[in-house]
Parts: sequence; structure tokens; C-alpha cells
Amino acid sequence: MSITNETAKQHAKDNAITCCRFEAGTVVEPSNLEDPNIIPDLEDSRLLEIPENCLKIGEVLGAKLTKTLDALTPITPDVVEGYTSMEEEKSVDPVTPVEPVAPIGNLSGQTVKIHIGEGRDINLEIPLSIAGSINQSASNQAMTTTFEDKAEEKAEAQEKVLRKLVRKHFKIDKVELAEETKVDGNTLYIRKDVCEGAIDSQNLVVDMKLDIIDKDRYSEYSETIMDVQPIATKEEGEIGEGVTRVLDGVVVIVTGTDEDGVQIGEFGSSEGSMDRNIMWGRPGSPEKGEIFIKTEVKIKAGKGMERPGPMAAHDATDVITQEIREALKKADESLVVDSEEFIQKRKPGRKKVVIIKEIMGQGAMHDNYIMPTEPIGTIGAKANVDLGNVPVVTSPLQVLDGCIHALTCIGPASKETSRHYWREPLVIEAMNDDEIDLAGVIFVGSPQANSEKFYVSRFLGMTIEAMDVDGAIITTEGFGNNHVDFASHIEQVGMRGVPVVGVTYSAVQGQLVVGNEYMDAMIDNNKSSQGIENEILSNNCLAPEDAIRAVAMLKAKIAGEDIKEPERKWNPNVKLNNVELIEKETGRKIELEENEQSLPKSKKRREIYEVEND
Amino acid sequence: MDKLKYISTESYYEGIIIEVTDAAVVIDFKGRLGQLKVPRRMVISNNDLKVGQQVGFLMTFPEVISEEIDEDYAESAKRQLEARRKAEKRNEK
Repeated sequence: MSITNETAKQHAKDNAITCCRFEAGTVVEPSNLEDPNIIPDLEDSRLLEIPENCLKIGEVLGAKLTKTLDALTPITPDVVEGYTSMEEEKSVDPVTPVEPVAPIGNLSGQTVKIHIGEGRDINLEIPLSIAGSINQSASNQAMTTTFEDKAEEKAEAQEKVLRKLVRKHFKIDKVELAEETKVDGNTLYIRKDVCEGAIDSQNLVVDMKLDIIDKDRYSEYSETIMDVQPIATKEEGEIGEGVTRVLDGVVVIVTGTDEDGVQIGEFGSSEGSMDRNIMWGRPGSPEKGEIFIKTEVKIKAGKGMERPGPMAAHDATDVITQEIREALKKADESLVVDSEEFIQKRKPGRKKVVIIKEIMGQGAMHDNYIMPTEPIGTIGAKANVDLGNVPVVTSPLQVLDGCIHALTCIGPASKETSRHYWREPLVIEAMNDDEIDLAGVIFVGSPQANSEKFYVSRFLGMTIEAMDVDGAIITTEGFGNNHVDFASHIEQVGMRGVPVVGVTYSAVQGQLVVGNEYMDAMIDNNKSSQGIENEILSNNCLAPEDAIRAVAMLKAKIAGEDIKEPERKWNPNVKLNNVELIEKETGRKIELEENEQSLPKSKKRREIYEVEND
Repeated sequence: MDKLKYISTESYYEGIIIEVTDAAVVIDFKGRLGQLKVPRRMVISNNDLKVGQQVGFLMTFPEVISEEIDEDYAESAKRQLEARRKAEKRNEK
């Protein structure tokens, strides 16, 4: 298959291979060359072997073949004459940068003095009439510079604080069952019969157990983990502002099955021993050493696959969490061990950026509660499936204050738990970056059918158009048909001329199912060594290292820098190269996350592993 | 993926959707060659999924890539299978 002039230009630096048989004497044109996009396939299938001295497309165009070549022959210097070597061009000494020359001062008489420190092929032809006005334009330039300087100063002065959020931390190192739910010192007491009320609150819930797991019991069996939730409550103000109290050292874990023992949601279930299924320390997962308040909800048989089933498990668990929240509200102020302040600022004059988070909206276990009255609560919230999955704009502080209660099956390593949003690294990174102005965070659901996907995507496009942003980062969780709308969202933003970066788990298994011309800047969240889904909680979720790469990538794209085309197959080195580049440019050390290799292996696996090494 | 010896065995299959719930889709392979149960988000459709719709996909033959036995995984998956069978039996009665 021959190529066009445009393709030849784009691929000037790719290898030149003939597409058909051509006689000696043929002058090489794009139509004589094979499409560089299919060359790697030909190489893989061993139809083609490319010698080291193969010439590039840009070198052979216009040259004459000295031998008759068969189809799919690499063009080398010995079969062609009159080619222009690109390497020769490279051999030119690099021009050393010259100190900037001061603007020309007063002109005297009729002379124009131009000094060029080092240069090649420079022709200057300046009519005297123009040369005479150089003085004026030079000072214009100087004036503009000062004006810009002032504008920048002014912009910084205008930085506007929209709202503040204070997080007060209470340290818990012991959880016990007792007569009454209360926070006393560093101990959290939970009422013994707290489950009864929780069971009664939901028709679909037939039984419920509460278990307190400390680090000595991590290796025990657990039903599938449906969510990891911080325990937090509002002391003052609404979600996203005021004061929030949070318990450190303890998390709520929702698990459940139906009466027959079938895991709720069934897919991506992570039942098994906890220490082999949890990737510690990810934004969405527990920290090693934390105490789990684990509910095991039993719902009516066969209800685990319909939306109300998993929702009932979450709602019942939240009855217990709410009782702890009430106790936390009453806890003595002197127990506060740490206090964090988050400030939401608008920074005029900086590049206005929006984060778009695509969340699941396909049905049961692919859903989220948005904007409860308490952080990560359920009361007062609406499910994004019920909202029609349309875009919802929130403030970064609302996200960090628990405006999302995740109902997704979080078993797959790439799904985001409630705690993930509470510690959302991309929101924190973008909020703290002084070079950009984070305008807000948009949540958009991912419905099942393509027709609905495009329906919500068009709304997202219009939202972005109305916001007049300079850049956007779009993230998605999991993989599958949500990549259809992920691609569509990127297109809707990109076609409006807004630079856009996509963030998703992709690697080997989550390869994108569709693509478009705007998807040229992508960040892969993969951390598993093999690039696959490995049922380890939060392993392949967005982590701080990915957030840094995404923001750096967006800045590069806004600045109009070239982004290299992706390699044909997943190559983990692409990420490492980018990390190195960012570290070099910013002088900031990026800590890479550990992956599943740091978790204990099963006894059997260890034995076999060791035997193999003997 | 490098563990597969017969990597290019993928071929085109068709199937019929025989069950749709809020969470899962069951696909029966044409020719009664088996069934596949996948989460909804793994199925791409233009409109709402319906029982009886036909789907097409590429699949390779699963290859055993390691002789190692993953007891934990097998045990919990077997328990799930039994739980589901129990539920089905009860529904039949």
C-alpha cells in the first residue's frame, strides 16, 4: 500500500520500504513507499527485516533507484543514488547560544549597527526608512514587557480565596464493643447491638455482622470488599467548607453476600485473605496497621445483582457509621491531634484547568452516591445513575470532603473507593500547583448504552465550552465499555480547541477500545508488573505519581510541546522516561508506588518459587 | 501475555444474551459451546441490553500458563459456584 505526500511528511524519519516492485531508474515518490504504520506488523511476522543502514523516507524522496527492487525491500544507500542524507545535516556544529543583545539604543546618523555573534546564511536587507523606526519599535517591545510584568503582578495580587476547609484529626488506636458508642481518648467504643437497628433500617438486609479487625487478623478470610471509607463528620458548615472531623487509624470496610453466600455484585469480588488482596497505602486503600470496622451484610437471596441489593448493604453500614459520626461530633476538642487546612483559590492570569472524572453509571455496583449531608455518607445523596449520569460540577474541596460515596465494585484493581476521592491525588496536585488555576471538578457518569454515553458526553462538551478553560484532565476508572465515553469526552473537549490529557488504567488488559485524534496525551495508571488486572484492591488506581505526570503532561500540551506517539505495545519504560524527565525539569523527586510484588505470596507459590531458584 | 505459546489463535465467535441483570450479562455461545458471564461494562451496545440480542467477539483458546495451583483463589471461586448452584436449585423448586 503506497502512501500520500502528507503521510510521507509526517513519517520523514521512518524507514523507507518499497511497497511494490519498482524498476531501476524509478525516481522515488511517496507512492513507491510502504505505509510506516504497518511496518512493525511486518517485522513481527518476520516478513521483513530492516538493516541498520536503511534510509529514511525524508532521505530517499526524489532519489533514483539504481537497482530493480522487489516489493517490501528496505531502501539502502547501495541501491539508490542522489538521496539527501539527514545525518549530514546533523553533523553541522550546534550553534552555541549567544548572550541576548540589548535593544538598540539611540540611533546616530544613518547607520544601523547589527551584531551577530555566530550565525549561518543570514541575509539582512533593511530599507533605511524602516531602520529609522527601529528605535521606536524597540521601545515598544520594552513597554510591552513591562506591561506584561505588571499584569502578572496584578494577577497574583488578585488571587481570590473562595473557601477553606479544615480537617481535624482524631487518633484512634483501639476499637472495642461496649454499651454505648463514644470516642474516649484514643479508643473508639461501638455499641454492641448497633447492628440491630442497621438490619431493621433496610428491607433487603436479613442479617449483618460487625467485626473489628486489627493488624494481627489481616490474614483472615473476608467476603468481597465493597468499599473502604474514612469515618468523618461535619463539625461546622456543609460538605466542602467549614470544619470536618475525621478518625485516623481506623476505616469502615463494607463487605457482603446474599443469603446463599453469593458475593454481592459478584464481579471483581475480592473475597479471600485480606493481606493478599489489598494493595496497602494507595489513596483508595487502607494503610497497613489501620483497624478495620468491617461489616458483613447479608441481603435477600438473588438480590445481589440488582441495584437495590448493594445499595441496601451500603445504607445499612452507613447506619452504623452515622452513629460513630454522632459520637465523633461530641468528642472532646482536646483529642484533636492534627489539623489540616485546605484552601480553594482562584488564580486569575494562570491557565484555567478543569478535572473531569468519569465515574461508573452502568447499574448495580457501577454507581456512586453524590453529595450526601455527611462526608462519605448516604443520607441526602443521589445516585449518579438516578441523575441520568449527566455532568455535575463540584469544587475540589467538596471532593476532598467526601462528596462521593462509591458504590462501585472495587474488587478490580482499577476501581476507585470512597476513600480514593477523600484523598484524590490529582485534585490535591492540581490545587497545589501555582502555575495552574483549578476551576473545578466535574463528575460524569458512564451509562451502559452507547446512545446514552454520547448523550451525556455532548453535555460535557457544552459545559467545557461555557467554562472557557485552557486545559482539562479526564480520568476514568476500571476498563471496558467506559472507554467508549472516555474517548468521546476527550473528543468533545479536544474539538473545542482545549488541550486535554486522558488518565486511565490501560497497559495490557485495559487497552483502549476506541481512539480519536485528540487522544494524543494519555497517562496509564498501571502499576502491576505484568500490566494486567490482578484483583488486588486499588493496585492500578490513580496514585500521586500518576497525578504529577498528568499535570506535567497537561502543562506541556498547553505550552504546545510535542508529545511522542505511543509505542505499539505496552512498554512500562515510557512511564519511567517521563518520570525521569519531570524529575530533571522540576528537581522534584517522584516516589513510585510499590506493586503487588510487595505482598505475601501463598505458601504453595513460595515453595514452587524457591524450588525453581535452587 | 508472553506466557502464551499459541498467541494468535483468536477467532470470531457469536453468542446470544440469555440473562441481563443490573450487574451482569450472560452470553450463550452459538452452537451450545458454553456460556460466558461478564460485568455489564464489558459489553459494548448501542442501546439497552436485551435478552435474545446477538453479540460477536474474538476469543482465543485458554492455555494453561502455569502448573502452580492457586488454592486460595480456587477455593473461594468454588465456594461461589456452589452458592450459586444452591440458589438456582432453590429457585427451581
